[in-house]
Amino acid sequence: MTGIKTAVIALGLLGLGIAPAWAKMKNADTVAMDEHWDGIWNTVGGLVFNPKYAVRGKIPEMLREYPPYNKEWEAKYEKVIARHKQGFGDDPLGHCIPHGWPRLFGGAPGPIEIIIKPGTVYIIWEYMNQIRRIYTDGRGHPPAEQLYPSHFGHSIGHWEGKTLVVDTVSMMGYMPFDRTGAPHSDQVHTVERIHMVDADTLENEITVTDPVAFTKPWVVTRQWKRAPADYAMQDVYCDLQRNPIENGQTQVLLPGDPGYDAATKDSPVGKE
Amino acid sequence: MGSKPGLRFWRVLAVGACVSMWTAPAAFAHHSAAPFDMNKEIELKGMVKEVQWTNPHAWIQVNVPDGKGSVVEWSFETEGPNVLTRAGIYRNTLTPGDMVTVKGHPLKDGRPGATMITVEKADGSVLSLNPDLRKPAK
Repeated sequence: MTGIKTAVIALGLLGLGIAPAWAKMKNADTVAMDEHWDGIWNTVGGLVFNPKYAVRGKIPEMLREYPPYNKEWEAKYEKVIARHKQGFGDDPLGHCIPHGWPRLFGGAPGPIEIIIKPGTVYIIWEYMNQIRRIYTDGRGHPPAEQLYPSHFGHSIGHWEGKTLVVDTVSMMGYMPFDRTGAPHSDQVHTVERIHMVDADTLENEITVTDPVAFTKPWVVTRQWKRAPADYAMQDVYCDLQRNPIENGQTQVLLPGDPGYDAATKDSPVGKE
Repeated sequence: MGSKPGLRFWRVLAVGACVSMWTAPAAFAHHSAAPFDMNKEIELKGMVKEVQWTNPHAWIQVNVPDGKGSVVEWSFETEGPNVLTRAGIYRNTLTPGDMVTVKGHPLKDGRPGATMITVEKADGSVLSLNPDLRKPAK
C-alpha cells in the first residue's frame, strides 16, 4: 500500500469519527499528563477505608467504620467487630488473595503507580501488583449478562474539567471494605472523583452505594502524596507465609510446626 | 501447633502492659494481629540465627538463652522487604551471629514468637519501622 493510499484511508477513518487512540487523548487524558499524575504515590492514612477513623498505632481490626448500613448489615458488621474483640482474625486477605476493589481504597502496604495511556488510566498497587484499568475511551460497562463479580470489577472513566470521574461495577461481595471487617454486598457500586489538590497531592472522593447493605450513599475522601523522584516500586507477593488461617484464626508457624519448612524455604518450590 | 517451651525466663523481662499504642509499628499489613498481645512488650537478648527475607512478611530468628543452659529459637515477625528497605533495614543489615536485643509484642499463647518493635545491635544502632524509635550506631 502506498503512503498516499494510507493517508487517504486514515483521513477517511477520521472523517467517519473512528479516531485513533492518540486523537482522543488530545481531549481528555492530557489533563493527567499535564498535571503529572503519572508516577508513584504514597497513600495517606491507615488501613481503614475512611482514614478519619484510623488511629495512629491502633490495630485497624480494633477500630470500626460508620458506613450507612441498614439494620441487617449493621448487625452483620457488629458480629465481625465482636469476633475481633474475642481475638479472632480471619480477614480474607490472610488467604493471599488480592484486595480488589473497593478494598484497595482502604489502603494496602506500599505505594501506587499511575500510568496514563490514551483511552486507559492504569493504577498499579505495589502489593501483589494489583492493577485497576480505568477505560477513558468512551465505552460503557458491558451489558449485564456479560458481567460477573470479579476482584476489580469493571471501571470506566471520563473527565469533568480536571477531575477524573470513575464508575466501577461488578465487584466481589465477600471482601470487606477494610481491616475492620466492614462488609458490603456484590451489588456495591463506586463513583470516584479524582483530582489534584496541589502539585504533590492527589485526592479521591469516593461515593459508595450498596442497595443491599446501605440506606444511603457513603462518601469518603482519601489522598495520595507524590513519592520522591528516586522511589521505586518493589516486589511484594504473598508467596511464603507463616500465617495461614485455620478454623477462622490467623496462625503463626514456629520452627518445628507442620508447614514451617515449606513456608520458610527460599522459594515455594524448594530450597535454592 | 508446636509445643510450649515452658519458658518463664522471658516473662521476667516482660515490660507488661506499659506500651504506648503509638509505638506499635505499622505491622500486619497483610494479616490479623489477633495472635499477638499488643498490650504486652517483651525484651530479649540473643544471637541472630537467620533472617527470612520473605514476602509478605519477613522474620528474624533469634536464639535466646533460657537462663537454664538451653537455647530457645524465637521468631520475630516484621513487615515485608518493601517496607523494611524503606525503613533502612536491608537484607544483610542483620546477619547470623549478630548479638541483638529485640523488643516485641509476644504471642498470646506463650510460644516463643513476637512481632518486632525494635532490634538493637551491638553497635548501638536501633532498627525499627517506627522512625521515632530508630537510632544510628554509637
